[in-house]
This record gives sequence, C-alpha cells and structure tokens, in this order.
Amino acid sequence: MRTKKFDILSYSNYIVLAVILIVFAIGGNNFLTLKSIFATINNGSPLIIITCGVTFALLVGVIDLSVGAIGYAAGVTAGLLMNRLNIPVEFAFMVGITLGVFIGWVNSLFIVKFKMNPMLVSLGMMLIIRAIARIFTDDKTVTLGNHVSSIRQARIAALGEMPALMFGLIAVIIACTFVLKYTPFGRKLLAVGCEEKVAKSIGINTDRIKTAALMTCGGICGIAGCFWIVTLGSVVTTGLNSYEFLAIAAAVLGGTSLLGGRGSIYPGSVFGALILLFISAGMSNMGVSIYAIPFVRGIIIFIAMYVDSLRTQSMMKIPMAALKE
Amino acid sequence: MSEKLKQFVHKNKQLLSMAAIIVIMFAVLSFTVEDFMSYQNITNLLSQVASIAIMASGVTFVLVTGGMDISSPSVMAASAVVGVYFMTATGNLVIGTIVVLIASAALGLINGVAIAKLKMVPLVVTLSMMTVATGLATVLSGARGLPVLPPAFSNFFNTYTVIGMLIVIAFILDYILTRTSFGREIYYIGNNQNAARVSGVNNDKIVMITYVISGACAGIAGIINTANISTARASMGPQSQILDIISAAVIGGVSVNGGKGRVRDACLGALLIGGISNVMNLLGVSDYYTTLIKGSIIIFAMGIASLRANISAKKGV
Amino acid sequence: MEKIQSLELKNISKSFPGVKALADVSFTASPGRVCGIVGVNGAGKSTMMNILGGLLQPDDGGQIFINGQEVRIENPKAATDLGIAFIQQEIQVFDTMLVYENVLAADFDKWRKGKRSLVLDRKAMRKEAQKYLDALGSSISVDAPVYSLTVGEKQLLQIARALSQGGQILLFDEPTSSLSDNEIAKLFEIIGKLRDQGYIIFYISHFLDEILSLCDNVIVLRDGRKTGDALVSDIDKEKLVSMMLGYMVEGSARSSVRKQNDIVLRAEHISGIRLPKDVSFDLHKGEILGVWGLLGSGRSELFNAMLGIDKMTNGKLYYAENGKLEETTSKKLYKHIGYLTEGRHYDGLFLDMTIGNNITSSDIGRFASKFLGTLNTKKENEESRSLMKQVNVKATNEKMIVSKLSGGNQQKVIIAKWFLKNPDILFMDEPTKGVDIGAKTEIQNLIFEKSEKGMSFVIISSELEEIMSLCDRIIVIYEGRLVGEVSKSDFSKDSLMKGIVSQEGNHAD
Repeated sequence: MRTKKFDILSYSNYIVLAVILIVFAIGGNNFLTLKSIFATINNGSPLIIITCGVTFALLVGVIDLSVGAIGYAAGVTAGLLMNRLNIPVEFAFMVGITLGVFIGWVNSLFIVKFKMNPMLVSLGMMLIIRAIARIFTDDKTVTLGNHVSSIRQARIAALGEMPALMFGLIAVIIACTFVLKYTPFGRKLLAVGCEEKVAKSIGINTDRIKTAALMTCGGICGIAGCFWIVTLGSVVTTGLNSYEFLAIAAAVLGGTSLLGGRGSIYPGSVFGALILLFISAGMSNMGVSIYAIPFVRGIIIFIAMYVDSLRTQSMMKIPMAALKE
Repeated sequence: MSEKLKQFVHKNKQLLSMAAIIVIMFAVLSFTVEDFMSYQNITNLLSQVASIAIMASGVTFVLVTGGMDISSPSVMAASAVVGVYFMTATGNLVIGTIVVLIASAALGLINGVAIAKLKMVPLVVTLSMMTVATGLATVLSGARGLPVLPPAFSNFFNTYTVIGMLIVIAFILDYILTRTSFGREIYYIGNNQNAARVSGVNNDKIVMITYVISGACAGIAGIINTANISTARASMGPQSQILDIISAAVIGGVSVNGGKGRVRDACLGALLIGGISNVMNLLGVSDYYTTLIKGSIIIFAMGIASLRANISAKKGV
Repeated sequence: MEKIQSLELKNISKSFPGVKALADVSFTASPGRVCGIVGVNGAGKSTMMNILGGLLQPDDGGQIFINGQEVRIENPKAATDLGIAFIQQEIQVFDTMLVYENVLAADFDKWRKGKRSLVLDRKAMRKEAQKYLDALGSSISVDAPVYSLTVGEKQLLQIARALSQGGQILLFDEPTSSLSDNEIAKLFEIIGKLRDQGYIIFYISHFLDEILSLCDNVIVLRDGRKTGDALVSDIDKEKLVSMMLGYMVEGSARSSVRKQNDIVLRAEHISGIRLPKDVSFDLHKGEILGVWGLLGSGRSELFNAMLGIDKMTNGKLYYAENGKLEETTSKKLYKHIGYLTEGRHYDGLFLDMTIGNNITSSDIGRFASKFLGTLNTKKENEESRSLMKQVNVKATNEKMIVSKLSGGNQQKVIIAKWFLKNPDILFMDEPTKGVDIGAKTEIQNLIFEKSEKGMSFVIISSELEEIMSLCDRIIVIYEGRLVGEVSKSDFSKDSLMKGIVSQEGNHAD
C-alpha cells in the first residue's frame, strides 16, 4: 500500500512540470520556444544551484536561511575582485566559492558545535553577511561588463548552441547528484538526516557529517553566486534577495523533507526549482502583473508545504504509547 | 523583609538585569552622544520602538508555546495597506482602523489554523504567509502606491498616543500571559505539550489564538507605522524587521524552545535594540554596520542563552 | 575476529540512585544455543542487555569474559568490535534508503572502489548484502527501498546488518511485539539457522510460549536477581511463571469484598490503531478496577484510546452523569476524569515548572476569575500546599522546581495534581512505578480513602501483589483483547494468569 503512494509522488515532479509547461504554452504567447526555455533556465540557474545547495543542509535536518546571502556574498566578492583588482575570472570565482565554504563552516560552528537554533543562527548570519557585503560595495551597483560577458555569451556549438552557462549548470547538477548518491559521504549524510540516533549508534560521526554538509551547502551557494554575477553582468545590492525562501520551497516542492533524511538533487530539487521558475516565467509571459507573481508563488509554496506535512505524517503513524518506551 | 526582596529578585531576574543594562547604556550615552537625552530624541526613540515592541509582544505569545512566527512585519504591511486602501476609498478613518485590525487578525488566524489543525511546521507556514502578505501588500498598493491619508489620522496617532498605546497594550498583554489561566496554559504547552494535553488543556485552540494575537499585534504596529508616514506601503515591513523582533524577544529572555519569557521583558529587549538603532543613527553610522551589530548581538544573546541552558542541564537531573 | 567459544557474566550488579536494578547475576553462554531471558517489568532484563550492549557499565566487582578473557564493554562501538550485536525493540533502519545501503550502513567507508577513490562500489556492496540476505534465507531484493518493507523485513535487515558487522553474540530484545504470525515463524526459522551456524543468541521476551518453543535454556530474573537457570526441556510453563513471579502473599490489605454500586462508566468495543482490540468493561462507583496483563499487552493503549490521547477507531463510551448512563465522547468524558500516565517525564510533569504549577495544572480553570480569567495565585499556593501535605510530597514548599525532586516525590506530585481535580474517575497507569516501598503504601492508602469517598479508579499495574491488594475486580488484557475478569473473592496468581496462559497456547504455533 505504502509503495504505491510514494511511487506516484516520485513521478509527480515530472507530471507537474509537464502540466505547467502545457498550461502556459496554451495561455501565453510563444512560451514554449527553445530560446525562451533556455533563457528561463539560464536566468534561473542561480536559483537552481542554490536549491541544490540548500538540499544538502535540509537533508541533515538543518533549515539554513542564509543560503541566499551566501550566494550573494560570494558573487559580490568575486565581482569586486574582478572589478577593482582586475583579478582574472577563474581566481575570483575560486575565492568566492571558498568564501561560501567558509561561511558554511561558520554556520556549522554555531549550529553543530554550540547546538544553537539553526533557524535563528542562519537568519542572523543572513543579515550580517548581507550587511558586510553592502559595506564593501558601498551600496552601489558594480558593473562587470568585460570580465564576464564572454562567459555569458559563450555557446557550445556541438550541443545545439546551448549556452555555456547551461552546460555549467548541468555539470553542477550532475556533480551534486553524484556526491549524494555515489559517495560514502553522501550516503552517511542521508543516514544522519534520516535517523541521527541510529546513525550514531552504528558509528557514524554525526557532528562531522553535519558540518561537512553545511560546508558543502555553502560551497554550492558560492558557485551559485558566480553564476549570478555572470547572468546579470553586474553586482546589484538587492541580489538574490529572498532566494533562501524560494530555494527551500523549491526543495520541498521537489520532495525534500524539512525534517531531514528524505530528498534528492535530481529529479527532486532541480524540478522543484524549475517548477517555480516556469510558473513565474509563464505568468509574466501571460502579462500577469509582476506584483501578483510573488503572491501566487506564496500560495503554491504553501500548498507544497502542506503536501509535505501530509507525507511526513503518513510516514510517522506511530501511536503515542509506543513512543514512550 | 530581605526574604521577600530575595524572592522578588529571583522572580524578576530578567527584568532587573535588562533594566540595569538599559539604565547604564542610557546614562553612558547621554554623556557621550550629543542630543541623546533630548526630549525630542527620547520621544522619537520610544515611538520607533513601539512598533517593534508591540510585534515582539505578540510574537512572545507564539514563542512561549514553542512555535515561531516570522510573518509579523509582512502581516503588518499587508493589513496596513488593506486599511489605507479602505480608508482612501470610503473616507472613513475609524472603520478603516478597525479594518486593519481585522485583516491582521485574519491573517494570523490562517497561520494558526495551518499550524494547529493542519499540523504544519510553524516556520514554513509563517514563511509562506510572509511571501503571500508582502505580495498582497504590493498588489493592493498598485504601481503608484496608495494615496496619502488626511492629517487627522496622523494627528490622532501622534507620538504621545503611540507611547501611551505601547504602555497600555504591553501591560495588558503581559497581564494576560502571566496572570490569567489562558496565559498559564500557554506556559504549560510550551513546557510540555504532551503533559498539557493530558492535563486537559485544549492545545489546538490555544495555539491558534496565539497566532491570532501575534497577527493582531502586527495590525496595531501597522496602525502606528501608517500614522508615521500618513500612508501605507509594502516596504513598511522589510525582512530585517523580523530579526529586530526576534532579537528583542530573545534578549528579553524569551526562549525559542518555549515555556519561558514574558511580554514585559520582550518590550525591554525592543527598547534595547531600538536604543542601539537610535544611537547608530545619531552617530551617523550607516545602515549596514547597524545590521551587522544587531545580527551579532542576537547570535551573542542566543549563545548565552544556550550556554545557560547547557550548564543547568548538566547541573540538574 | 576470532571465533567466540564462550561468554561468561560473573557477579554483575547495577545500581541506580535508590534502586538496585541487578544484583549479583552470573551465567555462561555457549555457541549454538538460544538462551531466553524472562522476567516481569523491572526485573532487570533490559539493564542486563544494556550492559552487554555497552550502553551501561556494571558496578565494580562485576566481570565479563569472552573466550576466558576479561573484557570491558565501554560503549556500543566497543560492543560491536567485540562481536556483540544488540537488535533492539525499536526498528532501527533508514527508511529513505535502499536495502543494501542499510545492511552495510556501518561501513560505508569500507566500500570505496579503490583505496583512494571517492566513489562507492555499489556492485560489490550489493553482492555483499545479498550474501547476508541469503544466509538468512530471505527473498528481499537488495535494491528495494526500505520504507516499502514490512516490519518483519526491516527487522531482518537489522539482523543482516548485525551479521555484516561481525556480530557473533546476538541479543534480541522483544523482537516479536510488532510482528505478524507469519513473520514470527520466519524469524524463528532465521534464529534457528543462526543457532545451527554457531552463534550465541539471547532472546528476551514476555511471550512465554515463544521462549519455550524457541530457546534451549532460559534465565529468569526477578527483582534484579537470577531466580532460575534451566534447560527448557526440564521445565514447563507453570514452573516458568512461578520462577518469574515468586511466591505471593495471597492476603490483601482490604480483605472484605465491597458492595458493588451503580455503574458510572461503560466502555464498549474499544479499539485503537493497533491495540486495543474490542475491549468492553463496566466501572462501578467507588470501585477500584484493576487492569492486568504482561508488558506490551495493550493496557496503556486502552487508556489512550478511550481518553482521546490516541485515535479510537471503534467503540462507545457511556458515562452516568446523574445516575443515568448516557453516551459520551472522549473529550466530554475527560472533564470528569483524571489520567495519571505511565511516562512521568514524557507527559506527566512540567519539569521546569514549580510543584504548585504542576499540581494546579489539572484544573487551572478553578483558580481563574469569571471575568478575565485572572488567577488567584494565593489560593493556588494554599491548595497546592495542602495537597502536598495530604500526599506527603517531601519538599520545602510549593515553589520548588519539579525536576529537582526524586522520582517518588515526582510521582506524588502527579497524584496530588489529580487529587486536586477530584474527578469522579481516576485512571492510573503504574501509579507506584519507581516509588520506594514506604511511599507505595502511602499511595495505596490514599487510593483506598478516595474510593471510600466515592471516587472510582481504573488502575494498570504490572505488580501482581499490588494489583491484588488494591483492587476489587481485575480485568485481564492480552494482545489488546480482554481475556478474563476476576473478582476479589477469586484473586490468585493462577486465576489471573489463566486467561493469559490459555491464550498463549494459540500464539506462535
């Protein structure tokens, strides 16, 4: 009985995305062109990658609200290095990503070592990080024209003129999926998130895994930050605002449980992010006021969360008396 | 005499330590910072604090049950926008004010139902509400924003009224939480929700009401902020405010895990946070540094709270 | 790891503040034997298994020998390294992962493709996991997602995992509580196979028929001591029971049979999610009704279902408000009852609050003013103090924090709480658990007094002596069903066990 329910849910991602694409293709104009689809995915690459990053945190049971800020900080850092110090792109990106890993480590210090409330720690970190970043940019937009335009415009002819960015996005997704599914680290991570006590009792160092998960999350968000400045071509102060909420919603939409231990990068989180992206794209294509979009998104997120809570409840049908032992 | 004093000190540890910090802080500031102790500045400070303090008071109810509400600033902006929309459309300021309260309470009720009845995770529900409410505020404001209200509104809700409202509302809420059976049941739920249920407490109903209270407080703050700028905007409730609100509560000794804390102390926490913002402003420090410092303070305050909890856990049992 | 030929426990004791859980227990175990461990709730079975599993340390003077060499089992990892595998009652698998990942979960690091590789060698892992599944004769696919398995299959995974970690000494703790008859038969097959392969197996269970059919020998614990160590072929069920329960004082504190008054509560066909199953009984005014059964029989579940804490899937409740029985709901019934639960810390006390606040929590509305609900804290404190005195809670005043009290005093606080409400019916689940002998008698006398004044009681107790001396009538529950009803005049351990013993004949055949 249980098998059936879960199987349907795991295909639901494909189904929902297909439905959305069809709805907007019918209602909008020129929505389903290859060009516009590529454009949506391209511009949405930061969100997709942040969603992958936050998935690592959610899988170990940590709701990390600083992921948007981490991406932002990494992007700002890389951007400033390129703009002000003329550091080559590759190095700037590496510094940005390393910063992301570092912030992830700081988060883990508070959350894992000092056992503080993850939500509030990450909320606090989010604001601190953004504040610091804005201090450095002096609240002005930083244009990066030359430095990144070549990347943005690069195309891989062999793959149907696919933007190089998209190729990079796919590479990141594959890497994340690989780590989660095929390495001991990834498996241990899932075990810790699923049943921390049991994992501990069979000898897994749960603190270390959680720390590593948060650092991985930070690093991936750093990568997202790099994608962000490339797609935008400049560093704006409101960059990646509210992305943490969107990313978490996307992950949950894609089947990641907020309690940890359940979820996937592909198809889960990736499709969750794609669904949100195409909903926004479809709505603006249909001429819906940009003000209404967040409203509709909020409702969809709410429904997704409700479905997730149903999933969790059905997996946890344990009578009270049994819990007491 | 000294026995009673001892008891008083023990019961009001949080209040006394915070009052001490505030008194010292204000004293030092009055000497070092020009214009800090001026009538103008202090009344300014209090009316700015009022909005945060009232929202923090409402959120305290939720926090004590062990829940979480990060939707307050957004609900505040949304209900204010709804109210001003109504007021500019009908010209009726009085009913409009009531509309603000009803709207905010209704949004709070939606939170409450989702959390208590549908058993969803509080952070997630209020996070969604935050997005939806902000969206609602933006949509209703329209592209050009709402028109300005007639001066009568701001005149009525002037600085003195606002300070008075703060004191009265804080007192009433504190009273409800600490001196009534309803409030006691909130502490029971926060301390051990299973034991509360077995004791006969109607957990679902009470939790729902705490979210309504939190919503209503956001509405009151909405009224105050609207009077400040004589209109309402979606940007009235930025995300950073929720950090101020939660910091105020946490610094005021409210435990994020539930079961501990009171409105009075959360208001003092708001005063402390407001004081810091105020001073930063006077000193011409940019916004970012202020946020930086505030963010660090909340992490610091939480660190102390969790250290304290760890120590007493190791001592006891 | 070398083959384990013998395991010996010598003079193992374990004391906790106020109670001696194990006293001087010694025995040996050898490979190829299934050793059953029985005893009533609190007899020390779990403590002993926890010591072997590295979760607890024995008191000084106790020694454990493997293959003649003394060993120290400092923590669960040490236990695993020594070859001891503890298969606990709660299912400990990772639902969201696959079968072979669960079986080899302890050794993810060891299964890399190469020494330096980052990647797991899944093919090899699946082969290894399959090896263990085959050894256990299971047909589960290694690629199956674990959430889709039945409880029995998940348990099998735990066993497979234990074997993959090199376990040679297997400790099974109440393994059949959530299994269907088919799954139990399968489990027995597996255990038989393991025994024939030379493993040392310990099997804790309260299902006596299982012990007698599966085990080669059995160790009986009572009050922390070993009161029996025999080959199963030498004993029968009656002997086993008498070793478990000891010799009873047949008389009781209140020998006179009391007159039965009108019915105050009627429960019909009460069923819950898994337990209870179709239980019906009546409760008379002023009566003390006992609910007896072995551990895990569903008594607490009966209370929880009737009182609305858990879902009641079927059944009706009738309450006599003014002498007339009327149908009612759990919610409405709750106004007239009190419920002292089994888990003091779980749902009995507000540990960080004062004694006074705990005591008044059962009826806080009484102290609230009509209009605003303002609490009359003076009255609260006065009544708390008077109840503390009545129940003899040993504390300076009502402002002490409950977490600082001893277990017995904490229990008394909960009793004071329900006495404050003074309900018509008081449900009590193990009211004297963890309470010292002096306090036990105090509590029992309080129950008598209240019942004389008209309060009705429904009491779950696992102590035969206590339940026989307290109650007017006892209903017997087994696997969620009502299997017997005994009135005071017929009280004896035989009459109470009769219902259970006859049922056990039908179980696990």
